[in-house]
Amino acid sequence: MPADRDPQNRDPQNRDPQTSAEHPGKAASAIGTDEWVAQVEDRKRRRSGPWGRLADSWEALPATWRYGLVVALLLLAPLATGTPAFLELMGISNNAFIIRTLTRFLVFAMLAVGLNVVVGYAGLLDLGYTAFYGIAGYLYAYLSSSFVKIGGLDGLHLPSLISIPLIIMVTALIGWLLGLLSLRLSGDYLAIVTLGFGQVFVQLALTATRVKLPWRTRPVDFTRGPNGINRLDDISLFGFTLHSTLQYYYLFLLFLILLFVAVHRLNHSRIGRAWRAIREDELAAEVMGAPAGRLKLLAFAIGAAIAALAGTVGAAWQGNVVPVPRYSVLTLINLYAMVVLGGLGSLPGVVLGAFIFTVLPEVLRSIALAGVLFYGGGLLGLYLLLRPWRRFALMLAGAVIGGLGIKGLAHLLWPGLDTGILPGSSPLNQLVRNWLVIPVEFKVIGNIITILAILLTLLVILVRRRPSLFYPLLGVTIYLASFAWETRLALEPAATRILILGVSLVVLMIARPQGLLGKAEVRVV
Amino acid sequence: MTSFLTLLPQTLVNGLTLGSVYALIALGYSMVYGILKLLNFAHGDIYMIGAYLGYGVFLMAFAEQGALIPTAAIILLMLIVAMLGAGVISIIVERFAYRPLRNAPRIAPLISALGVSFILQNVVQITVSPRPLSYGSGKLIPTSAIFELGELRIHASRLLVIGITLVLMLALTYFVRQTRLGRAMRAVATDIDAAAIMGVDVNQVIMMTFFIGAVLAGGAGVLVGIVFLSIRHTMGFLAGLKGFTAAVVGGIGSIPGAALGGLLLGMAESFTTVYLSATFKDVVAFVLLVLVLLIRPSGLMGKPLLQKV
Amino acid sequence: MALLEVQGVTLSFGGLTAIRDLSFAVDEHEIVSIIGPNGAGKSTTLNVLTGIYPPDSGDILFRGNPILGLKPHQITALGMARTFQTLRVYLNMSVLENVMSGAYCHTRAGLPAIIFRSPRWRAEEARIRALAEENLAFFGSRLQGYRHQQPAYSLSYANRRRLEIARAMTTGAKLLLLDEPAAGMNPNETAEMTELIGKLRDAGGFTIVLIEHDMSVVGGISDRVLVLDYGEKIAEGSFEEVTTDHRVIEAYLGREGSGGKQDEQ
Repeated sequence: MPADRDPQNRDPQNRDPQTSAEHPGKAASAIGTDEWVAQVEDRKRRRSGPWGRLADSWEALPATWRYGLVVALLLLAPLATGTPAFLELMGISNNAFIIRTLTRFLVFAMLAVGLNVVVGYAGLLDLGYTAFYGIAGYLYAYLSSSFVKIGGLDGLHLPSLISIPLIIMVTALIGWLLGLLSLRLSGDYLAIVTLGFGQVFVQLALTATRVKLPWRTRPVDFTRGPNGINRLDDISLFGFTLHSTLQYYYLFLLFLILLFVAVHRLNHSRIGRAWRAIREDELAAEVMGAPAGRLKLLAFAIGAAIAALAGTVGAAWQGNVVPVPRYSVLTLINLYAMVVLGGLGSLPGVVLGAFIFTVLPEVLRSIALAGVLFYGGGLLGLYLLLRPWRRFALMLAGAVIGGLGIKGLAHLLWPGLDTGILPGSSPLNQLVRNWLVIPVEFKVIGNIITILAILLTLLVILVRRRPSLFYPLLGVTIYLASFAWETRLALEPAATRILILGVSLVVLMIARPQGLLGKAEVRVV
Repeated sequence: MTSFLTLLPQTLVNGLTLGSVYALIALGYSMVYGILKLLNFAHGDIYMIGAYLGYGVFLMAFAEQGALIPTAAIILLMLIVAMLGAGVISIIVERFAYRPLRNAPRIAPLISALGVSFILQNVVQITVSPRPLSYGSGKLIPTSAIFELGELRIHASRLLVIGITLVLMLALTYFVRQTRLGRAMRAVATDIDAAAIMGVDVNQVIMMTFFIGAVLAGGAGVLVGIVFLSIRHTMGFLAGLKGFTAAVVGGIGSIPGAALGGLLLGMAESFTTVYLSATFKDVVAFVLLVLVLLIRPSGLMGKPLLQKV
Repeated sequence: MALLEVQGVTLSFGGLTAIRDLSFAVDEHEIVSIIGPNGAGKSTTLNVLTGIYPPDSGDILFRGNPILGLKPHQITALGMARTFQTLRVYLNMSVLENVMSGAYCHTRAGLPAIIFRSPRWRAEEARIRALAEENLAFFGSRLQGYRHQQPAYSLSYANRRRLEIARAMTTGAKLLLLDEPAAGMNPNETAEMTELIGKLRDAGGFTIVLIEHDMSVVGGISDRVLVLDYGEKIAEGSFEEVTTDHRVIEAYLGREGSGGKQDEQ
């Protein structure tokens, strides 16, 4: 394009050679809009610091190498965690617990991959996904255990090679039927209907213990209620029956790898493109030749099928099916948290999310370790808030000195006050105990301070641009937060875990809604 | 047939009571969805907070010997504290957990709402109690306070629920139709950008919407405590779910729709419990939802979303 | 036989008649423009043609076959594709994927072929890719090379419009319905677009129905022009005929308007 037709010289490739020859400097510095945007993206992605360099070298590896590394790690994990050196380091006697946790991770990873197909690719908000997981589990209990006693049989004990594919197909059909609803309902309505579906499943599983069938005199117990059905058959493939968790672990790893590859290939095909097109703009996709209805049904069916695979083999491994909490909405929420944390639409992301969500809570179980994480995380957060490190150190020093001052004052004026005893005797506990003032009856005041600490944290966020308010409030908040942790939060680990999960979800969505490995989405507002 | 008829009045009253509660919760969902297209999963927990705040007032109003002030005053105080408290908490939640996500992908505020729900539930569990709290039968309103209308015997507490719900909904209707702020709310619900250009303070309107929705839900929480005499920190989840179902059935974004949906749901549950079996009442709610949405995808009184092609 | 025949189509939304008794035909390799004031029903006509809105009455024949009642994706598979006035590319997908997604209706790989990457899948995928690259190359070198992997949101506005056309081309359509392809473009880009539309017909073999407001485009490229006003066809003919028709001038400028050629530059 001659220079006068392109006065802003916006297309570098279309530069007039005459211009370049006459004004080489000018041509070199001119840059097209699109190219500039592309370079900005590149610059943003190049990170700094040691973590950044590690991340960069990780991404520099070709994809097959990266996956290979992860697979190798997972293959060796049971062996590596069984070595005497590792056991001694962790202070445990054997790694059975670790293998069990990892096996659970694999089941959830499969579920996460399936959910990623429905929500991540096709953009269908299915809040009843765990119902497929549960239906498949119960079907397995019917087909492969002693539960079904008809015609004198002590249960159908269908071989796994028959029951598992059969259950997958039946569940896929149910998914397809539920998908029919999606054709009529838009996103949010679909969400609430599928949520209802999931609820109904759990309700039925809990209560369908006395169902009156017309051809039977006595009511039939379909589900054994809250206790569920147990003594399910182990999986047997080609004559080989699995017994130990370790064997199940490797089988699940194989399934996960196969699923991963299959879904990855699906994503990079015309169907994956069509799904993502529907997710972006359903009408445009339909007008561009993609049958939106059929494709949504397919997504539902495939998602259900994957959940069914996880459901059958998971039930076989656990040896039982129980409605709550395994198939309840709590699991659904955990699953969604995994998928969103890892990154919707990113296969490695959702697997990573599953890993974090199954392994991390186990790590957090001991109070001592939880304390380390709380204070460690708190200090890290404080540092990130108060960079450079001088400000951070000053604030910390101020808080420490202030706390000791309060302690001194308390000992002076109310001698019997600071005599409360906290559980936990790690060095960290000692340190904090020597800093805080803990009265003997600390439960009630601990409750009040917990609520106060939360409100103050929010207030601190609001006044962060006013130094005169910000620093003193922050100091007070640090003190109160530590008090709240020691007197209440650390002593209610189950509730605190979920509380921290809630806070993490909110913070994560504000800071990085696309999750860890997801791509930031752009919408036309 | 006679048993059907004898049980009918009571069933109707129960349905009306339940329906009132669901309607109050549904209204908050409906209004917030109307302006932000956000499924506020934490709304049920706001209802729970209202219940706990009301309970707190109840505790403080009773000394060893009995009530310190007349029952009507206690109930009024409970309602005011609970509604205002729920409203304030709702505003805080909106400011910190939803406002930063106004322009984020749709699933972000959903997950954030989930997080808020976790936070609210577990803060209450830790700082108050993991166990249900009981009002004690007859302590606030004597068990003998029963009104008789012919065959019908209604306990005062249920009458209270129905009465207060009516008052609140009338107040809301007046507010939305006649006041400037109500008009602004309707404008923002229709087209948020156009409203902003027309000089409406969108942030304030959104804040007000959350506040009002929470006030209603908080009130519902107190009323539920008064009727059923027991509250627990997990009560928000199921009630919220039912409330949202009611809002969707009635047509989300529509205030009379929320009321209608709540009523329908309450009646359906009541009739199922009495005439079929209590185990199926949640199933009935789901079936009702699916049926209504299949016949009218935008709910009974909802307006279908039009998009410019 | 005309490629597209519209016979007596009427569409009302509630009390508002958007299109009233519209009839026209488009022959193969023609470029027909539809013009008219805002709200005249031009985009609505495209929506009816592509099956988004079923008309209240009338008939539409494509290649001699009635297409009323068909779903949009079926109509696209038959050979009619469109772009949108409001520009609806898939922002979060890459440029190449945007265009490749258009090929869905004439591809057939099923689940097993995809999962096992059968030779048939490989061949088809290569064919789709080649077709997409070829269609992108239609627009010169600006959507080439590294740009293929860039997300669509990183493209400039004009490039997004070109992307949308490339996507429509990839559906294998014979008839392209372009809804204000030059909207929001500066004079240089508009001139380029005009050339491009001609090239689509001459080199690409497409038949084009064009909605435009910019008269330099309409005048520069149309074989025939249709004028709509309040949902009715008020004039049809060559560009010169139509722009000197007093009814058309009235429609654009109102009763008190003076005569003369439309010349929006």
